[in-house]
Amino acid sequence: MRRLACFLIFLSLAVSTLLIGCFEDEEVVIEYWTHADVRREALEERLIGEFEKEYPHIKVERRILSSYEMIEKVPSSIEAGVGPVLFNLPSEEISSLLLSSALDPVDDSVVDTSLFIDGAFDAVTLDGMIYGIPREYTNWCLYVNKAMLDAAGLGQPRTWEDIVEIAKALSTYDGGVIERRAFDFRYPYYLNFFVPMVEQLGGSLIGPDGTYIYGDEAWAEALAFMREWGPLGSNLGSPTLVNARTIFTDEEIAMCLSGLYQEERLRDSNPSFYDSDRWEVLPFPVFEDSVASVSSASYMHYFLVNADRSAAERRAGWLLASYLTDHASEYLDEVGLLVPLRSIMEGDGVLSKPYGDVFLSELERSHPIYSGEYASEIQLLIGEAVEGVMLQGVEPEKAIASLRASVSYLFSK
Amino acid sequence: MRKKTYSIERKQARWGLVFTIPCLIFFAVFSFYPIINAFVTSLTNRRAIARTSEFVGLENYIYIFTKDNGGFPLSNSIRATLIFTVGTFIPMIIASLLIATFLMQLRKDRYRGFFQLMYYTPAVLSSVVAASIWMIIFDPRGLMNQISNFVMRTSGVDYNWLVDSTMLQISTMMIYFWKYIGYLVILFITGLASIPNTIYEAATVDGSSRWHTFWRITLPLLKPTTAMVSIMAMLQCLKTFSTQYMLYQGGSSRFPIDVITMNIYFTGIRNGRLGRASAMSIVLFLIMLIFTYLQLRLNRSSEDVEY
Repeated sequence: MRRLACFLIFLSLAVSTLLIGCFEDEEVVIEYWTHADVRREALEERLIGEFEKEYPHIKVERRILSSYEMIEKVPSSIEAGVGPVLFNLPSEEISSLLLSSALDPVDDSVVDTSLFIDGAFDAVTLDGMIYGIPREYTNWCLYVNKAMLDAAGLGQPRTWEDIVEIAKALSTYDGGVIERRAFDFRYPYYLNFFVPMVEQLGGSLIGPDGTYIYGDEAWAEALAFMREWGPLGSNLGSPTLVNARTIFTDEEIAMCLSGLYQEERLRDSNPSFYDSDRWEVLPFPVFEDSVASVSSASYMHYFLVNADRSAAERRAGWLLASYLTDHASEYLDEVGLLVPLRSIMEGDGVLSKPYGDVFLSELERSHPIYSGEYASEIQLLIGEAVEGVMLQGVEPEKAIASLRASVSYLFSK
Repeated sequence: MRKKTYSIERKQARWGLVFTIPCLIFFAVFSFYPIINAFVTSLTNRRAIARTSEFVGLENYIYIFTKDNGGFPLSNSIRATLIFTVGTFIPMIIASLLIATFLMQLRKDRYRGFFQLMYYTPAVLSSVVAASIWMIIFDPRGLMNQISNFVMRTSGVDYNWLVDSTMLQISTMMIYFWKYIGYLVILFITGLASIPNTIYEAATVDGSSRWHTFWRITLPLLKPTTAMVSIMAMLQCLKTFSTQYMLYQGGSSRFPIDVITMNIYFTGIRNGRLGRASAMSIVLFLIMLIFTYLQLRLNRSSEDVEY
């Protein structure tokens, strides 16, 4: 009898150990969707390889999509029940997923949120719960091809009026056809650059009294500026032309707006230009009659996990997100991306980058991009207002009224 | 007991039914069910991702016909769709018929094959590739401005192909025309090839000129093909999406080219209002149904053609 009891105990222990072992070693496949960035792809390929060695039961299938595709395909795939386990989205594209309970709360056991800077989780916090890990912290400054400006005897631009003056001096035309631009905006990211321009003039997206599209005069002035900039005005640029930061690296345009990561792209695409003193980074311009010194809106990309997936997949997703975040210094060194960890933001890494001090000081002048409810829709609506004025000749006052009505309607339902 | 007998016709009809069952099942699953599902969804306030849904009756239909849908009213989309359809499908039908007739006149098969391939190639290109090609062509320094300046005898004028509302609509028509003309040409060539040569030989013996033969023989005998091609082309034009979407992604304004499918896409996918988007889909379905019926009525006599 004792022998039998001992045998049964041994058997049950062996079976349970085997079962636990089986579950632990059960292979989990996680799809990780991220936006295209050549340097980051190379780094993450290596890091994911190392991660898979450390966690042999987790297999990562990475899919690279364009930024546009990420914004469109992630929500629709989640809606269809075939969304990825782990993905990243910018601050202004998260609210609809967050409010729809489509996101998994951050697994506290794998991420220490106290290591991040204040406000890092604002765009992904709902009812005290955190639903994402910030992976990139970005603000835009003005990249300038100093050589082009020097050759034309033009000084450093500080204001939007300086930008116009330089653009008029450096743009070349064949009759009415623009052949070379000097600067252009980053369409269609209107929450990033256009709303701060409105704020410089005293307006805002949401006013102190809670009204939307606050400060008609400021909005009208900013829209009139864009109309004058576009093909119906001085014809200095247009949303339909090739984006400026792409051709800046080839020295085909004098100025563009971009983040710190642009430096690494510059190094890759045009090393001799990068190594020269022919370029510099200046603060985000302001209007001459600015009432507020506001820089471009800062934003973050967040690692997010699909709440629809199994517990094992979600945990594996957070493990990968955490693993990648642990290599923040490599993201900074190799890709020029700032992970908003205190250790990174307060360390010497950023300052060791060319013009890293400009980006850091500009962050103090900036505020986070609007990431609340309907942020994505609002960005599209602002885009329609700006492009209506720039390309269709819509009067700024009419565009403002229409924009306000549309934004108000979003919130009224 | 008497053995049950069936006529040959009934037997053939039975086999016909057996052969069409897979197609009917396919149609039911992939076409009929989505239509019913869209109609049911259009009666709810279903939101994407949130997956909440309440019955709201005809509220979505009232909304899309009376409100401006966040600056993009359905009325504007119907206007944009109809202008695009009329501006594209009529020239496409005429041009494809003329090209097909021209190709049929070519004596050497290899020339005909070469031209058929040339015309058809754009149809197999992906929208992304097509977009890249046309963005270069429509660039202010691109080919279209150069051609326009040459034709209009102007110099250095930017015709704003991607900027001006009217030009933008013309641009979408041109891209669509370029992309799908080859497909229609192939269909017309198939129709032309099925007209017996003996009819043309008899006409030649009777002294009919080429022009007369085309008007009096080719066109009347091609009526069934023309009816089929025109209905297909019209339906395709009413469903157009990728051309407008790629120009919008290239930075052009949405409003002038906000065709119904694009409005459905933005309302349903970007704004997550699936109920409202479904109501728009049903409206588009009804428009297509009405136009198809009218076309069939116009071409009713086409069934009488016999060789």
